Amino acid sequence: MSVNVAARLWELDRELEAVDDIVSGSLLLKQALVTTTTVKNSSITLFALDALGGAKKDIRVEFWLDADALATFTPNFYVTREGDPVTFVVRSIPAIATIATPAAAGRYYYEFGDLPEGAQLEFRVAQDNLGAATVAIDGVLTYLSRV
Amino acid sequence: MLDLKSAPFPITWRELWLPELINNNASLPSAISGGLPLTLSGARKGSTADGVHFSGEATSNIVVAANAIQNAKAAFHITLRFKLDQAFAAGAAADFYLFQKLLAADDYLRVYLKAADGKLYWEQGNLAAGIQFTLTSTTASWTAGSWYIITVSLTDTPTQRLLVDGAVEDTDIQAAVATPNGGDMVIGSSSDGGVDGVVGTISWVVIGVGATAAVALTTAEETELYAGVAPPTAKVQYMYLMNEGRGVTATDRGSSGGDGTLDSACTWEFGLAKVPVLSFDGINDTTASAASADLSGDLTFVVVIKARSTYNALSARHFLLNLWRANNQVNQVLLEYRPPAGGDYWVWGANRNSGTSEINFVYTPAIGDYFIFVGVISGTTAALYLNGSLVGTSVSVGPAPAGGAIANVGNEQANTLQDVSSNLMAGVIEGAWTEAQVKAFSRWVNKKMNLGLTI
Repeated sequence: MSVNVAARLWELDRELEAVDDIVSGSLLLKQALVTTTTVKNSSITLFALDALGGAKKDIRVEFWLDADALATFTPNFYVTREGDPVTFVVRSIPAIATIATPAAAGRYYYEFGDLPEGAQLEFRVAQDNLGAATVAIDGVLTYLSRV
Repeated sequence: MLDLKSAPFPITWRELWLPELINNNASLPSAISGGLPLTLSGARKGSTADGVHFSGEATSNIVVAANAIQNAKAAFHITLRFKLDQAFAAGAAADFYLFQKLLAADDYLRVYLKAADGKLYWEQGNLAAGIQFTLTSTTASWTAGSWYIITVSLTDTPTQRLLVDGAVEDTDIQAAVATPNGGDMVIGSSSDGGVDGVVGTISWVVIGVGATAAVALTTAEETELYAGVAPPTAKVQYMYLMNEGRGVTATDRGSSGGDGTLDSACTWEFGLAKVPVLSFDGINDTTASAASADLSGDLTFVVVIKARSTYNALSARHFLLNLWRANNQVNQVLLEYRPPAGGDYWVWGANRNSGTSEINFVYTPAIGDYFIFVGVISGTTAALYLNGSLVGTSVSVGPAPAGGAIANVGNEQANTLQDVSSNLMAGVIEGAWTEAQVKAFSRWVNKKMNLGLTI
């Protein structure tokens, strides 16, 4: 390999590293996808997210819930707090309205906002003691993350 | 802002698993539309924490409550991996306790560094008889910041043994006395409230206690412990990976002896990387997807790992990643470590439609090292990369039918051949990456996760 070619390859490698540095500083759009069911008289955790590596921003949840004209569903965001990093407490601001006896399948959308570094989040959906034993639900969690 | 599917160049993922999404230690959803979630069995969320740091204060200890599992038993072994904040040798200011199970002033098991001579002591108190046995290391000087793995044991054969970094430094055959019939086990100090605890970090604790026939370590198992691999579950009643990274609980990954509780002065210690991981105990933790993964055509595999073993002359195979069509190893793509009988190296294998292609590569990381493996299948050729650099190629990969494969991260099919290391990311990519793409992606992951690799 000639000296000029070798030198150019070295330059290109350095330029690539510079691009990597720029890309590395950017926020990534990430997601999780789940297909599952609710459970009568119980609560499921549809999504969980851990911000140990850095804050997660612009967290949003969208799910499709099948019909059940007898059941009432209660979605909520649960998070841990700085002083207690393993205990989850409800933190849906504003409060999330229940989904009461949906006669038809529907799409539901919620925004959480930002999860600070070190915190954990769970999005749970509870079904009361009415309706079918299980109801189909599938959803997507999207968020921005540096890492 | 970048889509994960675009960084650092357009990527079409077939499968992508990110541990930050682990849900109640039961499942890991896919991060890709159409991807497969993993069902976790024993495997759970951990972190890249290097361990728990102890300060020697009265509130710096981990307590494992006494119970019938550990009380009045004929055999006992404990392995600890630790490093000290400062050098320790004869003339140190105070003893450093690593462990004690204390029922009374003359009824105890204890492991400590003795200030008077700098040696490691393994002792048992025997009620009115005083000290039943004392084993001491020949190592009398401990370097600050260096990791050590020590294993001490007793049985009713009787035998007592003390090993430092895989080497037997003392043995004895004093008359057998059972473990104390009470008293908590305390890690990192002499007691809950003791001010003679170690000043440093403990990253792994393995304890076996029970009947000698059931839990006594073989010499091969002692060697494996030095390599970071615990013995079979029947010999491990308590195991603490010390990688939770938050909270006050050290989760027991053994056969359910009991969790440990961190006192207030204990802190979780991290290095450069601070992210969630998929954590395995190396005994019986597994993951699996539904039988819908696709191992056909050109593809690329990625795994990002924090090593918890040296993978040096181990006795068993350990799988990092495996895709296989059920009951048909004719179609399987794998990344595994094979023990000396099989070569004592890493294998990137693509067994597809009777075309078998394997790349064998020797790599013995230090415990705690990060590494990125990328495997590529392009036509009939396979290539393996480590930290962005090509380490081997092979030919004669056959075609494979699309779909119908089960994906396992951290084990092989049928929930066997489990691995011990922590997984920071695993994925399958459509198409065969070039060397430049492998390097760019490895470099990008290294920077994003702050792994500290030189790529």
